[in-house]
Amino acid sequence: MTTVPPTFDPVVHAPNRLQLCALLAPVDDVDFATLRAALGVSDSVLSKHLRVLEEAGYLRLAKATVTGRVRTRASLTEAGRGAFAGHVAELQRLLSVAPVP
Amino acid sequence: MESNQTPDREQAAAALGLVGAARSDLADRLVTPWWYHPALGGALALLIASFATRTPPLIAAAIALYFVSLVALPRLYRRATGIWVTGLTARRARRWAVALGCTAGVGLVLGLVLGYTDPVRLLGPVVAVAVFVLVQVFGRRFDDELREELRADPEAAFKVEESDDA
Repeated sequence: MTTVPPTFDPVVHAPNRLQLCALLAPVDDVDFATLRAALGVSDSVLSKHLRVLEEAGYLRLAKATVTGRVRTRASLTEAGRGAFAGHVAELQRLLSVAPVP
Repeated sequence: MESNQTPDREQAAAALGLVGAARSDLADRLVTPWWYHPALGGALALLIASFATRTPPLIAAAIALYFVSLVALPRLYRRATGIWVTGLTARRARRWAVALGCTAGVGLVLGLVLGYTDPVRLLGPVVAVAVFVLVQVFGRRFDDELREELRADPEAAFKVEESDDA
């Protein structure tokens, strides 16, 4: 059984990037417009966060022309899936720690 | 909240809440178009049934239609939903995607064998109808279970198994 060690990842932890990873992890890919609508952010904000994830090696962007329009699709890499799973495991670990009285 | 510092308990809870909300939003968006499974099952059933005709041009046309559907259906699905999911990244729902793939494989082999061995050429079309029905059943079960999985508590969805050597 594969074990994901709980690891805090500052690249994943930023709220918009955490939501992006949560949207992308269970599926193969999601298009730019759907991600923008899901996060409720502007094109430039989404592009910035996608670029950060891409530069970290966590995300792959693919462009395709559909009926004359260029569509961008994003998918998590194996490294991205691993980083996200490890980060969620760390959040769960932190949550399971009893609060200091 | 953008920070390199490890969050405290409250911040971790808030972050997990964001993960849960994003997964729930994804579940709402993952609505398979009504025509997707009938079209997939129809192209597959047509190919299986075509073997019983033992007519090469008809079989070739059915093979061509099947491969066109394999390329076109994911594109149309993506255009309708903005998302593509094969099921290989799912957890529990994955079994239904595997069942669907096995149904297609077994159905094709059975259809091919029966198409050329069954003297009355009836069993091939019967297999085709059965495969069509199973594609609808497994496809919908996959959709339902994936949505259920996504709406589940992120703690359960991402439960990390303990390693043997831990």
